[in-house]
Amino acid sequence: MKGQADLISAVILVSVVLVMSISFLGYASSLLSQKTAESDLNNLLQREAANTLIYREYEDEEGGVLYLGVVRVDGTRGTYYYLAVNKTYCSINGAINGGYFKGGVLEVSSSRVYVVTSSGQYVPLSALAPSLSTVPLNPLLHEGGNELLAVGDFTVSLNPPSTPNCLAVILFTQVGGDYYEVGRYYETWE
Amino acid sequence: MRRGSRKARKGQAEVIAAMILIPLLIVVFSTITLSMFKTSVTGTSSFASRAKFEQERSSEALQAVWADTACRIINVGPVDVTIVRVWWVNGTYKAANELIKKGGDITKVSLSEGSNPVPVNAIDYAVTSRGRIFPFKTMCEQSQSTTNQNINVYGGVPFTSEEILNMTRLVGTSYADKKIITGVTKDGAPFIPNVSVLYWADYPEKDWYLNSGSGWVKDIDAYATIDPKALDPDLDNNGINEVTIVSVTSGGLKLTPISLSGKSDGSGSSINYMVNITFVNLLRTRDYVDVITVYFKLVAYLSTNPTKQITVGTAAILQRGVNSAFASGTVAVGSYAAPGSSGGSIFTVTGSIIFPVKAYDPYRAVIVENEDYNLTLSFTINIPSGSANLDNLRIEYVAVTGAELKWKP
Repeated sequence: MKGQADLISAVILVSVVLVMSISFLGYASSLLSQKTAESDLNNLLQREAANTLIYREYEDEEGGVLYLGVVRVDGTRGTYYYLAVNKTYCSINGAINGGYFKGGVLEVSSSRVYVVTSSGQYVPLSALAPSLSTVPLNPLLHEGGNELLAVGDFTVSLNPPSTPNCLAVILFTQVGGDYYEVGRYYETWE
Repeated sequence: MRRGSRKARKGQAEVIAAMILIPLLIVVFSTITLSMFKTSVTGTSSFASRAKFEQERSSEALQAVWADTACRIINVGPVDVTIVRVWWVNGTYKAANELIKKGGDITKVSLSEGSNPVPVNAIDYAVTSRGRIFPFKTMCEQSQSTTNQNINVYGGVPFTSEEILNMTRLVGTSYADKKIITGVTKDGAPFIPNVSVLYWADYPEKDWYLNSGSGWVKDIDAYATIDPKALDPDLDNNGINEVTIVSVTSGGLKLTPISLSGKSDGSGSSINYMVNITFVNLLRTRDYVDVITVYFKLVAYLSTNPTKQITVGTAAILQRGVNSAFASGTVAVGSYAAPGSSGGSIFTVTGSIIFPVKAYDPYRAVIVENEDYNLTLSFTINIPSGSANLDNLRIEYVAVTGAELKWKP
């Protein structure tokens, strides 16, 4: 009789331990897969950022068009999406809030567009500009090598002495349905 | 017995827990470690390839040279360069595909769309595959203007042509801002009240230019009489025009090369003439100042050969505001017969003046990083007694290492 009780209590104890272990394993696996996904995303973004060079190539003052060169270091093809904004207030936070955006082919929810802050963290634009529900993005199909990106068609002139005196062009790469910054060109005028 | 059974159950539970937890911990730690390692490897390899790219990008170097009637772009850098786009200042551009191998050169750029290749001097800007922009047209124009002057400094000089103050650079663009102050004394007393420098330039216009301390004035021969002795722009006939030191006399404005003569009164004493030439805001020191060396060449005409050696002491002064640094220089003096001349000879003085800034505190206190300096060249010319006459004194070049020349062609 006593032996049966011991056996039953052992079975119960082992079952409880097993259930707890499996639950913990499930939690740990889920946490791990989340961390692995974040790590993979970081890897991808690091690689893309290191692979992308953006520089000023030419400014057509009469046409109000700024031509930027975009180089893919490894020469592979890729698709970027870019956001162009100008504003008098030149921090990225200030520019996004109420800046003049170049019209875009896509209107993307600002919570899905991530930019890099001065501390090096990716944050969604919606966190920087809560009033901004969508932002206009344009695709740039890059054939590899050195491609030209023409930024114009602003509602106000790119050139001084018109009101906006800074311009930011941010390149994004798309991962899933989200857009992450991988390059930025910034220009200010005195 | 009961106590023993309880101990056995506790032991079983510990074994079971360990069997579950240990593999779990192994899985968690190995995954985290692997993930961190992967991130680190990806980061390192990505940035290593980017660093290599940046190094190649910054080492792209193209140089323009005029050969016969065409401008030639030479790849003088350590990497091959591919031109992928060309621009004109009216805002038009075309895709190009022109490889310039290291050490190679081109005179035309092939366009991708099959139209005729374009001469390099007709292209305003050329863009390379690594994103560097080269102003081909300007490079060619500058090359042409310096080639016309045929600047050569013999003897394998340890500086590049960028650091030679050749005569194109003396006048060149913004010539009205390039101030040269000249002064001459005789035995410490004023000798000639108004002294300037005169030069025949091919660029920006073929014309006579005069500098009296407030920048070059062009077309000077339109309202001044130039002494025939100053009219030969190249006294030593080596293809390089010199800057002539002239006295300026009012009353009809006459420009005459200065003449330094010895005493012929039989007293036996010599005369010391001091000629100072100051180039205002000529030099800019770099981020790191070590040794600044100034090289020069003085040319003159000896209408009567001296009975004793003419000696020339040289010095240079670097000045910024009220601070100045002085250094004396080494000199080599020579003379040779002027071709086609019935008498007299060409007298040349070459030398260098060293400012060992880093090694000496007094220099370090005055010559600091990233500042503009006036350069004064000071020549103390001792003419022995007799009928010796040093005429038509000129400067052929000034070159500097260890600092940047601000005056651009």
